[in-house]
Amino acid sequence: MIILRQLCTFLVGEHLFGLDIERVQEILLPPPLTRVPGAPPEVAGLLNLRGQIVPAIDLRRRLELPAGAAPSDAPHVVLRGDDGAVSLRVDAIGDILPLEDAALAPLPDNLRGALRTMLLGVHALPDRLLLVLSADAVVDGLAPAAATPSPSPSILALPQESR
Amino acid sequence: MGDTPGWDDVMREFLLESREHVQSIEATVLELEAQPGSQALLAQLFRSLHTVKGTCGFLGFTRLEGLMHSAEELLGLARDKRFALDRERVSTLLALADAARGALEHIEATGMEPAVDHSALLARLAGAAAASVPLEAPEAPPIPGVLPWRGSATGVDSKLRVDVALLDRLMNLMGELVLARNRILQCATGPTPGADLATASQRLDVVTTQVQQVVMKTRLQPVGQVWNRFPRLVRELAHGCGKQVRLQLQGADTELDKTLVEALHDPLTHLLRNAVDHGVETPEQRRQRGKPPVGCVTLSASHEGGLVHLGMSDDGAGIDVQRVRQVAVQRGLLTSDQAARLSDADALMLIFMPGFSTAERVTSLSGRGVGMDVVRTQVERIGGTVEVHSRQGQGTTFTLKIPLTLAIIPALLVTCRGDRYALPQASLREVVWLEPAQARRDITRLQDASVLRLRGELLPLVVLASELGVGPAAPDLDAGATLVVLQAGERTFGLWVDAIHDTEEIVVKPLWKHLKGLSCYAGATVLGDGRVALILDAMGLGRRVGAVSEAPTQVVPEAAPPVAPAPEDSRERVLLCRTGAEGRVAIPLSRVARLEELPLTEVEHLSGGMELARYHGQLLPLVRVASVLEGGASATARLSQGLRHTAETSLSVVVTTHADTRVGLVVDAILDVAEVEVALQRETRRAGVLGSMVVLDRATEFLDVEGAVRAIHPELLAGGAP
Repeated sequence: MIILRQLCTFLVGEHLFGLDIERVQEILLPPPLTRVPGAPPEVAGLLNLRGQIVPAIDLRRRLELPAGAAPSDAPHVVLRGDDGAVSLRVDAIGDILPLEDAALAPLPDNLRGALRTMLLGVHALPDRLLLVLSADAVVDGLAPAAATPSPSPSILALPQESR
Repeated sequence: MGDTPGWDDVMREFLLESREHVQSIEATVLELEAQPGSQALLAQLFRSLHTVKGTCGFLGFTRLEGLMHSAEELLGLARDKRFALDRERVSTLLALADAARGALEHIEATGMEPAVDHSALLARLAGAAAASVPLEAPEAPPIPGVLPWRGSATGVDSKLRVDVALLDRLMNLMGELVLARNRILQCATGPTPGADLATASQRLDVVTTQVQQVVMKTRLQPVGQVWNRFPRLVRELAHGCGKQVRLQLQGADTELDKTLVEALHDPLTHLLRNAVDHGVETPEQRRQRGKPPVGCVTLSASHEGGLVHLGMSDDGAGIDVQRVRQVAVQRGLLTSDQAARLSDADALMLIFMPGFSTAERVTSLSGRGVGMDVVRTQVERIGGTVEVHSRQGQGTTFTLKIPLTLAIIPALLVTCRGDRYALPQASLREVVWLEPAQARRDITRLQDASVLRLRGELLPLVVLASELGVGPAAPDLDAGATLVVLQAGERTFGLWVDAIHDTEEIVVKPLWKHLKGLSCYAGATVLGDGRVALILDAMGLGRRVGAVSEAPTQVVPEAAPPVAPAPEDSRERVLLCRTGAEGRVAIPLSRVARLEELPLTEVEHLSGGMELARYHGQLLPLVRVASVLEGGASATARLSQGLRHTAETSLSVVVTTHADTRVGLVVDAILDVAEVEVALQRETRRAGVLGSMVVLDRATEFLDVEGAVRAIHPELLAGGAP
């Protein structure tokens, strides 16, 4: 039996990336971002998604791709997750491609660095390579901000779930 | 029967009601133990038992019904004064309450009565009811370690009882809200959009505010809800460790947000456990010390200035501060020097340190070890603070100060390099705008640190842009300065921002987990225009000021094992003063409360060369630093005598605090503030001097504030006010 997986594709730098569409909540036109001074450089800022505060990750930085001029109208791919949504800033949105799981090729051995830890595999498309990202690795692997001893804020945010 | 329509409602009602009755049975039984033979209490107990029995019978829960019946028999005899409810009988009744609670939980989960054999308990009840016969049942089976009903708490607490009048008001307000919405919709689509919009949105504003207030009120719960579990806890604990303890509750009807009420359960339990376990002495010890054998633990709650104050005090042994210091040194948390420099109040705060609590050595001292860091962490997490006061031999008081509610707070919006930030108003003391000329006069810049002189007080300044890493450490003074004076815990400091905007009520949302390590933020919020703004954390920013008063937390990182103090920890801000013609002394800025120019007419001379100044309606003892450095009190008289004939008309006084006493140090001139590396080059034997060092190319003596005061007014530091 052939298992088809829908991949949402997008461009960052000169590479084409794909993410399982099950994890993609929505695509945003460039939203206003609030920067977070002191945060790791991969964190692009915070955005307001219909009342929810969603962190935005600069995917180019996160993947340690060469810094290029990101377009000013960079769209966002919003991922759903157990801890709430997280948004990824990309360069441009591509098509949705149904691809066979079996066709996913392992990563080339000579690929190293941050990219390797965040990729599940590659699909060889007729004209180029599609790099399939692991949403969990992109989000959870992020280093916690500044290793200060866990401070307790002097006010408490409304908890997400009732105690 | 389970298929009958409305059955679920009946069951829900039954469970809710029966739980309350069981709670009341337990409370009444405990009260009865304190005043046996009270007919009113007995009658109340009867009513509760009877109601539960009745509904159980109606719903077919025969085992529970049987239990309640046996208890009624027992009480009937007690009511006829056949016997008093002694400790054993009380324990039996409490066991009954536990069994009933267990059964109710089972019924909620499965809809069925548990198939538990209650015969042992029934026998106990029957045995207890046999009036003249000595009780057969041996010592009651011990209640398992923790509170047996902790598990059920979640089930009950997810529901809330709300005053119907409040709901009615809410309903009315919702009606108004709908009307306001309709009007706005009409304005937007009508022929002349915008004409009535202003009035309509004004109305909307008013109604929303009211709705918010009422909804907040529905969330308010009396703190007594947490407390109703405590009398039982104290009883079990006290019996467990062979002590006699009475629990007093004051202000149980003080209201607090529901989330907070629940969040307080654990800290208060820890504190109570400590009070009974370690605070209160055994009856023998108490008698030896001339105290009544029954110890008293008091829980109190009251509203004060937008905060709820929760107090927990015992009349036990108190905390041995000297031992706390010793242990801190033994465990390598502080050097003996640092420990000696800590005031008693600061030393007491050591008990809240995480490393401190787990060590066996500490728990075996006067106690107060276990779980204290949990208490502080929990309380700080809900935005509160913990204070502890202890007098050896007389007891210990913990005060928790908790905000009323958390979800929505008023905040001041400020900008920094084009970004807006929200500052919770609870920590806001005042806003100061300095013209360029004033700024140049009142702000002193020392290397990277800035200090503001505000009405004689010295405030360290935190430059927001530099703290956040988006601007220079020293903004341009020629543009003037916009400062927000913040109070974080005991510390006051100025926050230098670019501009100040409006105030706004903000809804606090937590920060993303990967950003939680950033101590300057307390969360984030969405502003009126839809943009996200970060909420600044006054505590976190205040920590950056770093002063001696915070030595314990500064020296030892909370999570990490103790490490050598970072270089900046040995830096200290000092006030430089001139004494005599040439002498320069440095006074730690952390000890300085205010700087004053006091007219000589305000100074009283007492015999023996003592000087007191009238200061804010009180008498401020004065210590002339120059005379201390020259040698003892005898010099004071001579010096002040001499000075009285000079042209001097006022005194430069550095007001310092010592526990609850203030002392004025008289210097000849206040020169400057500097941040220095405290590396004393020479230990001296001179009174009042810790050592000397070079500050700004001048030899400067580092004043030993305590020593200097002690040299002139030994009685002041011995204890209490003069």
